[in-house]
Amino acid sequence: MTPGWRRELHRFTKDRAAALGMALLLLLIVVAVFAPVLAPFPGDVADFHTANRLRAPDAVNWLGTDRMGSDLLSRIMFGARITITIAFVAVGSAVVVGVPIGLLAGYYGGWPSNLLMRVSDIFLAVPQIVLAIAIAQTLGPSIENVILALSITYWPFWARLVFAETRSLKNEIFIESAIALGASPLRVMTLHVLPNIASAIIVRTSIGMGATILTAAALGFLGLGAPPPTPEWGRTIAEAREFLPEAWWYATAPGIAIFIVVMGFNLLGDGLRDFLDPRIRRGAGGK
Amino acid sequence: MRRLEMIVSRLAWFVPTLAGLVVIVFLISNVIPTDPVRVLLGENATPDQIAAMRIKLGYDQPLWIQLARHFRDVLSGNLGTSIYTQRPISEDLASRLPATLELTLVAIILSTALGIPLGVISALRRNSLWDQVVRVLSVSGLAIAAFWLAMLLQFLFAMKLGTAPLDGRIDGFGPPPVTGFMIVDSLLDWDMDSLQSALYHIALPALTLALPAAATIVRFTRAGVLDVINSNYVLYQRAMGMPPGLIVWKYVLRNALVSTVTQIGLIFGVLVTNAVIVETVFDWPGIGTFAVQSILQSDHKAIIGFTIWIGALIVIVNLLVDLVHSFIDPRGAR
Amino acid sequence: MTALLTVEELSLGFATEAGLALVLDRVNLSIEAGQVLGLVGESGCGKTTLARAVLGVLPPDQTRISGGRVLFRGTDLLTADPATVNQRVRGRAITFVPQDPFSSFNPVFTVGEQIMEILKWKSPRADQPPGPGWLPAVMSHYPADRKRADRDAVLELLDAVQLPRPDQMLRKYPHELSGGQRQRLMIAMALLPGPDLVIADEPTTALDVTIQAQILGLIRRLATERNVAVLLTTHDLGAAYEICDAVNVMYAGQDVESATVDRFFAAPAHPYTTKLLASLPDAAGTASGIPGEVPGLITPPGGCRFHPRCERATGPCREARPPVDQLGAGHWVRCYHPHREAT
Repeated sequence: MTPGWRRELHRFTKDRAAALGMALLLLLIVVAVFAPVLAPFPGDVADFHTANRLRAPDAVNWLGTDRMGSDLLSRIMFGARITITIAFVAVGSAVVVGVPIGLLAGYYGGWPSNLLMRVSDIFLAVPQIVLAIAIAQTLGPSIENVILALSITYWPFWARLVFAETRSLKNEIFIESAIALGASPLRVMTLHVLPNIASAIIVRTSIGMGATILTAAALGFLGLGAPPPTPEWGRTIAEAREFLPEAWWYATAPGIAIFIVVMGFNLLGDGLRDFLDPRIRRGAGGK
Repeated sequence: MRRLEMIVSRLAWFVPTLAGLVVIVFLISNVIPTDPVRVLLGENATPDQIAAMRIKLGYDQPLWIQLARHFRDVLSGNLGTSIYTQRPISEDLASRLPATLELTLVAIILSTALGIPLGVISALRRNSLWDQVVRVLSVSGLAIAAFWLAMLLQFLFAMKLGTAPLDGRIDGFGPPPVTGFMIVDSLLDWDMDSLQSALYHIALPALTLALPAAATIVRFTRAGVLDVINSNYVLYQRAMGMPPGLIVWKYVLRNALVSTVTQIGLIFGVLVTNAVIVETVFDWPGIGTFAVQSILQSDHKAIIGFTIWIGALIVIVNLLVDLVHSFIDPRGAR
Repeated sequence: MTALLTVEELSLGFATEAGLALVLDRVNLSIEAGQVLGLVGESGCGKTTLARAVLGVLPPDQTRISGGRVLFRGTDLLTADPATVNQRVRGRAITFVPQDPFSSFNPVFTVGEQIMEILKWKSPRADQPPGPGWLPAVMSHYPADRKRADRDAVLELLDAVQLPRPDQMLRKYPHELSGGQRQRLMIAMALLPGPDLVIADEPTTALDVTIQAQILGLIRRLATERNVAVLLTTHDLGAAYEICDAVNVMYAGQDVESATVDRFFAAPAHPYTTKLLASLPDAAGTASGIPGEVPGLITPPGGCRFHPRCERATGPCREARPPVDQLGAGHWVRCYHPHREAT
């Protein structure tokens, strides 16, 4: 098994863009996990030193300080933790909820499935952020509520996607023969349908993480995320607004952080799509 | 006939979709543990005051009665009163909608004018340096937070370079409102000063919205043109000696544009939602700033009203795009 | 007697990620005026590539032509001025019937619009393309009187290909027609410019079995009536038997045998050909295959590319391509050990 995945990894990284995406995401994870160790001023997540406020970047504070005098670099590093948490939990729960629903609805069909899909369509008719704003505003500002708002508005996308794929796969011969041979529905869904749609799910998950981070940052910008002093990136940009144009570093740095992370997910997703696509066509019994 | 069928069936879905939207929004706001009345009255309200307000606002009734009332209100256009402006919410939204629409439309025009030609040329000169640069830029365009880009452009062009106004929609009072679109109204009134001011003011916000949208359009157009160029029908025309210019400008373009038009519908949804946030940065008097103000005031009903309006707007636009698509693509497939 | 089309020692390769695929190796072919020639071989043998080389529609960045000529009426199409070839030869003297009539029609224009577009530029009633040369092609005007004459010709030919109610058919979109109807339209479009040679690339592969025979018969009949030569590529030997005057066999990018249709089926000479004919199911329904696999073209076998699968292979077969061995009138083979007739 070991030489197998090493070879695949090597093949994947031949695509420079995809390799870059992977590198950026590794950077994000490392920074997030090791923030307490890597950050020059780990205490600045909560502490403030108003005497130091709004300092331009220098040897001590590489990205300058914010309005409370806290080191911006450290706050951004800790903000990476929040970003990762929101992305993984929101997208993860949407997938975990949406995919099984889509599988069941696609497999069994009938009016409950169609009704469920119509409901999903309604969710999907409106852009995610609009509903997310309404939900987050109702629940109150906190990271958990942001995650909840994002997952509630995201699961219909997965349900719909998996529903469509399952329904079309169901007509394929290899599924019909599996059923004829007596495979249980659970077996068919997990062993036959799921592997065929796994690639599509993986690619879209990566791109979806990028989109979720942008939406979460927007919610933070609007004040719907966690209250201060949480170093969430969107909120930091909102704080920085009133200090433009003098304290330019304050607004620029978190925005660049968002850009880097979203680029990472997008490049990875694109790379995965190119990498996995031809294999789907060559895959067993597949489309 | 088939087209008529399609139109009717799409219209038929329009109503339940909107109705479903209203239900969902209602449920969101009312089936959640936080007490909207407490939020409305603030921290220091006494239990009696809260109870009184509950009855006044009808929160004491069973849920399905509340829902029915809600529907009745929505259908009659009554979305409640804004805490902030003390005016009916529907009035507030109606007065601000043209500003948002104007911004969105200008952004669409800018992004297609920029995106489609770049996409076509990129496809025709596949893998050239030009193509690589365009592709890198378009991937980047999708990774930038819209509100951050807004602040960046504002910083660069308004604050540092002074070539664009900082915010607002126009200097002075502007032309007499006929359509609500400042650009159109200025032209109708032949007020060149207002026209110039309006154009200057809309430039940055529209550019902020247009750039990420253009990135998407470039990607789709490029893929669409490449698809067409490699198709069997282009091969056939080449084999039969059709003039190359004819093949590209009459046939390839037409086929690629069919898919681009559908994308514009998608992009509209994205643009409107980005507009909501970008408006606050530029203090643009549209429904976006209204929504943000309402968020800050915890004005529940206003947020709900806003959500319904935006939802309806996007559903209507998607319907229109589908209609246009059915006219230009005879296959009618969607 | 100079042939209408002569392909002389044509060699070309495609640049792929894994290397240069040597798709055609010194291929020869010749068609007389009015002759229906079948180009037969398995998938991947290069017959479609050869057809496309004659038409000039191979992808330019990936194709490497390493030698040979394609002589049409004495002019080498590979080295002639591309603009002239495009205007005078393609779509006029040499036309095309594609394999998949569905994807070969533009889906967003009616078939009528597409047919008239071909005639606008390739009508036998006009020597020059419409419009002044400096005006972009998109904007040139279709002279009204010629348009009417062309349209009459279209209706006439649609009748000849047995399409009912031609004027109504012209208003339809490609997806509204059946496969058989589309292919008949394609045949009509190929004949409208009054060509000397029609290249039909597997014209029945994408059609229902029941329609295949009809379409083939139609092609044969019209070709004979109008004295039009046809280069028909196919993997179906039965089709070749039904309508061809002569047959050329290709294997893995090399031409191996050429014969008139009678001699081809009566006395095949090349071991590959004999095996191919033997692999057809016989009266009892039994069929035999050919052991082995078609070779990859990036590092193909040397000499005669069939030698790994041939029981008659000897040393020379592996080293050098066999020269043309004339076995009789209209019958040559490239083999060191061909089957010779017992006479």
